[in-house]
Amino acid sequence: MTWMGICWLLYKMNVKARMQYRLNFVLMTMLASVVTVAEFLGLAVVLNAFGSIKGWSVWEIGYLYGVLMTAKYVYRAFGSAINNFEPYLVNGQLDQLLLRPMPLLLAVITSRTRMVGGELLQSLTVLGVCIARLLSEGRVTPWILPQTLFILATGTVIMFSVGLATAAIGFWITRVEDLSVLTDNATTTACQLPLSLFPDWLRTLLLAVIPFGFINYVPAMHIVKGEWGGWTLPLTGAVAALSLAAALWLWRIGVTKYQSTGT
Amino acid sequence: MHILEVKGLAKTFRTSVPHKGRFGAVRSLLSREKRTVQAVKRLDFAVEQGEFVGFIGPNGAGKSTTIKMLCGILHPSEGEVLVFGRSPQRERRQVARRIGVVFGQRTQLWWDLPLKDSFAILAAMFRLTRSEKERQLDLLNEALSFRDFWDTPVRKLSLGQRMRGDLAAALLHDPELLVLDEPTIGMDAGAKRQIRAHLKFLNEHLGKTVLLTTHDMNDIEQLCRRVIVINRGELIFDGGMAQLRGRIGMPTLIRVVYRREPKLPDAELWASQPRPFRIAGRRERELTVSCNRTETRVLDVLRALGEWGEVDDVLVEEPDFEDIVHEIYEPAK
Repeated sequence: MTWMGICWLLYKMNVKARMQYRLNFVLMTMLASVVTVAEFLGLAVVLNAFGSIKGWSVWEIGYLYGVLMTAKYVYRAFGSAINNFEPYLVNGQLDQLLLRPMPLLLAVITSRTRMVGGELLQSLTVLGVCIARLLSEGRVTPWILPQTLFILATGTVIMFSVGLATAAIGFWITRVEDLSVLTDNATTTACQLPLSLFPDWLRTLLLAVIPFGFINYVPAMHIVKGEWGGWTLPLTGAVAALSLAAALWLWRIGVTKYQSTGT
Repeated sequence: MHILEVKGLAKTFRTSVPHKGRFGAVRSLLSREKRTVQAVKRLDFAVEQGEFVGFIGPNGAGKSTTIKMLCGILHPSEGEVLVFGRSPQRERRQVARRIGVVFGQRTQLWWDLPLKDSFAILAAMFRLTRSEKERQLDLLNEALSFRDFWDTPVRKLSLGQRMRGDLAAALLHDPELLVLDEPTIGMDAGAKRQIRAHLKFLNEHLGKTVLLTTHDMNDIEQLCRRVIVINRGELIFDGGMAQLRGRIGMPTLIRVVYRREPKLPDAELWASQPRPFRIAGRRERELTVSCNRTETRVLDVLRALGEWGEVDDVLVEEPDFEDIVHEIYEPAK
């Protein structure tokens, strides 16, 4: 069996394991959808009240939201173990993964799967509606479709890289749950809105340190607003590649520092 | 080439120093003070193909740390370990394909799924063909009888069943080296006997090399030809079972019951000269003496005792293996 085959098998097994607890599975899926819908409704109500924010219309902000959330859910779908890495360190679960004849990162990623169907559907709907609206208003060309696909890919890579780096820091400090809230949840919430609203220091943070700004804001300035040139897209790709390389490097070093637990 | 070679192996852990007193937890969080724990100070040993080695030591001796370094889970602070001539740190996956590891306290199986699914996944990971997998499972089932609970989710298995499942999972890809960390922990006598028989078979008939860590001294006595004792991160003993007993020189006890009151020599006179054996105790017609078997033959002792009266019954007691080992862990000052 090839590597893809093994990953697929593990994915199926994870889903099967989840479904062993049937009621829990159904409830969690429903709950997740409700939470994401409520989250967006909150944002939509605020936007509706204001009409537009600093030159960004409701639909443009909806586009930012849609891209960000889709990238987030795609990341969660396969990177759930990285996002919740603390148990692996605290309970020594990493030991059994290190005994498998596969690359450690792959073993970690395939050890846990999260169902994101409902949430993904919701974010894609928002994205689809906003794109359709922007197209009908004549503010964007049909190029927006392949471009959006591109930034969804780079966006997922950036989220994954930041998550991986946070997890890797766990090899030194073990408890990374709280750090993860900062580098993942807080940054995601902030990036739902255009970065031009924020003070300089926060903008710098979200562009240079934890480059979530490159998931939706920077490319959208070109794709949707047309204010910045075409250089934004290759730059986004470069940032994504660089983040991934840096995160993998940190992970590789972290693995040598793994302390496991006692017996 | 040695199957396993350990050279100058050391592992040091750095942990934060917990602060005491008021706001201790907060101060610990902010402090940068570190404490160094030397789990393994310096180990040197080699294991050849086909050996059955017992790896023992008191709790906290560094056994698990050493085993984890062998498997590539931990990276040594100093020295190196080579398994089949390869470093488990640099070539973890290649080494993983050739060793089978069982951690008694932790399972390798998938918790929520039936046992058979765990085997399906492992077979895929190790690239076994369907026929290889079936053949291996049949072979393993003869000794471990896990087909009985094939369909049960692992979380519902009893400890003994789970251990048998774990052992089978470790052996599925037919590894040449088996590393077992307390494999019989929590098992009943029947299951232990079965596992021991199977391990013996694997070693003697199939030529597998086995490294066994255990606190059950019966396991060691019945299975191992060679014992490595480690304490406080250092190697204290490395040799055969007979050598182990001989090294401590713990006395053999001989109890004789005389038909009538024996005529013992004068106690002071007896103790004044070096004797091949020592009188340990006396109760009516029963006399207990102790001797060092490596120096004196039991037969000679009995002959000497026979001169003091007519011997009716004899009981010879070897020191308990557990006591021998305890002597090595903590020699009485």
